[in-house]
Amino acid sequence: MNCDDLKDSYELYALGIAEEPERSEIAVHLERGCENCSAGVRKSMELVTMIAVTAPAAQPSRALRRRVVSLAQPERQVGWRWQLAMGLLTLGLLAVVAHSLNDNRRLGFALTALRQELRLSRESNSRMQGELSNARQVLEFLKLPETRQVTFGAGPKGRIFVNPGRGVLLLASSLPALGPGKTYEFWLIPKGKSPLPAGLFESNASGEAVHAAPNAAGVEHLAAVAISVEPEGGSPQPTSTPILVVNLSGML
Amino acid sequence: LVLEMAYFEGLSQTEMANRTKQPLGTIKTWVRGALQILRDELGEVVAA
Repeated sequence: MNCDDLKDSYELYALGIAEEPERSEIAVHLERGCENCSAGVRKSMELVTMIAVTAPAAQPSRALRRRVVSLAQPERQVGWRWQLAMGLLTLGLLAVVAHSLNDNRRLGFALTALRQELRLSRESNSRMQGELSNARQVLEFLKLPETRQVTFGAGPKGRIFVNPGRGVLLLASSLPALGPGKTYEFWLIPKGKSPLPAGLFESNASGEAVHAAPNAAGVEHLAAVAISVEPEGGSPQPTSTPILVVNLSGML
Repeated sequence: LVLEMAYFEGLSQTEMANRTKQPLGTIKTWVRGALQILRDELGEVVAA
């Protein structure tokens, strides 16, 4: 239910006689800090509090009236004012309590939102640290004088860098989008042997990917590297025709 | 009367219906009417 559906039940709620489902709905709105319902119920609380002043005055017996009047005569005005002051004070306190409860609820929501933001910031920070670390490794790899590279460009485009001591690095673009439950797998193909799995990777939304196969032993004996599309989790051997094979012979 | 029963005796609308032997719908109409009068009479005092 929205606030418009509930506004006719604010006084009933304030009186404690709202029926279901309105009672539960208003409670839910108040719980989540709905400003319309909070203001409406607060005003209704003030309104129904005023019911006290609508109670009909009782007529005392003559004897009682005489006794009370004779006893209270000097202080009659003070007593009436005192009652009015107490009534106003009670109303004021009710308003302060309602306002304070509302503030506490707002602060609670703000705190929850800030915690959520902090958690997202930490996750983002951790992800960026990981990306920075990868970028440093790539840069270091590229700077080494013994690193060799080969360019490829049919279909997926990019470069393969090979360093005898550090392994193989792939920089690729124009990679086709993957279907659900699929991943790219990188393969090292030694001369005269079966492909060796060299890690899984995914491309970004632009079809770009960076993948390192660090410390791959015997890169000097590699005939080629390849990329194939495999089921999520990868495969020990290619299960599909590779989308890219880059010949390394003559490079090493 | 219905507001007195609600406010001073703490009766729900269903309990008021049982007490007065009136249908619940009638009680609801009475309560709505009484609250409207209260709003008209005291609304300005509260708003102030």
